[in-house]
Amino acid sequence: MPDEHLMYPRPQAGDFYVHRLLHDMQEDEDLFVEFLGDSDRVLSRYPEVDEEAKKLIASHDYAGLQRRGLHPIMIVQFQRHIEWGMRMTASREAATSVTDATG
Amino acid sequence: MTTVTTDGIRSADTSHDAGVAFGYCVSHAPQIFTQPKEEDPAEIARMHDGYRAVARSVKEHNVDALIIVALDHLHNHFLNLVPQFTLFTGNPVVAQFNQRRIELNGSPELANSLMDGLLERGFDPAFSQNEVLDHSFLVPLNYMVEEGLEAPVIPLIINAYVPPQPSIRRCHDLGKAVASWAEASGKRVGIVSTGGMSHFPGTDRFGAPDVEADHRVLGWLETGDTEKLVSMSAADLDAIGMVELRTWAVSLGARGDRAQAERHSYWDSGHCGYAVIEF
Repeated sequence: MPDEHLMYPRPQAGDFYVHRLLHDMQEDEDLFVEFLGDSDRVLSRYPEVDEEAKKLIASHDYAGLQRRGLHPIMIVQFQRHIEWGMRMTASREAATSVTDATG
Repeated sequence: MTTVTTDGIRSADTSHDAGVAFGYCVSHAPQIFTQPKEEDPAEIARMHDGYRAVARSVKEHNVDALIIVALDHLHNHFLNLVPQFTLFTGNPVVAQFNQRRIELNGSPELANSLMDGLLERGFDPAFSQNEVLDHSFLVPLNYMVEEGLEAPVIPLIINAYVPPQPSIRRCHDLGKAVASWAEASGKRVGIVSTGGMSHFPGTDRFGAPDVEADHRVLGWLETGDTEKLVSMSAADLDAIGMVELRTWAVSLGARGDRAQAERHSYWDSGHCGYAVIEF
């Protein structure tokens, strides 16, 4: 079966920096908050990302991002971050100074 | 939505024979923790009971280490580097999701021994000494923390979502290699795999998991017909929303001839088949 027919297709190399942008916001809460306050300012720092992708991200167009062929896991985590306030951040947290934040 | 339950978890084998003492497979959907109001609280509570029963059993088995097999949802393993298998060899083992963050004991000594053992058996996993694991680890490990697990934890991360992934047969073989290492090194370990069952996060099929496929696969596992699962292609798994069952295949392979499933619980939540399975 060709990749394009998969529910989870192989990410296109040409979209690497679009995924990079989503990943940066996913893992960096400060950047995500900045994006919510001023998306243009954050997006302007990603010259490798094309205007179409920037519009889809700025408008939270999850279906459009899916049609674009971005990875569904990156999209759903962006969506949950926006819509549910669900932090999926993991990679930027140091594995030291551990505290249980739930109390 | 359906619920099928059987009588609890098997009693723990408290001998200290080397090898793989148990295998559990559980789901890890974030909704198990966030408990959205659309989901039946009684069913969620039943799932939590299943996780706690597994955690108690894991503790009672008195193993030298718990190997937990899950995945990375493009957090640590972004597209700049996507290893098929990654063994966490650091200490402590930390997992985080939302505001929940847990810490368990790792064992660099045992993890490095397993790493060497896998290399000797034809596998070339990557390794990591510092990685905050995501919700696929946190959901089941949370209950291990609550139950006071003292044995060290060795996380094994499978590439489930980014094609090309390892074949499910390769994951099954990886489980066999883990068992071979445990027996050869005189170590007694247990395995908990997390993932599945059918679900399609981030796609337009999110609300339409393949429940028939869940029951079909559960039927295979309950009759010990694991070959039907491990012979599935990557496209087959993708089509029924079971890319994550690669983690289950590791447990299946590790348990070998004993890999006949007992179903503790299964619930079709409407977006994911939640299961707690024992091998």
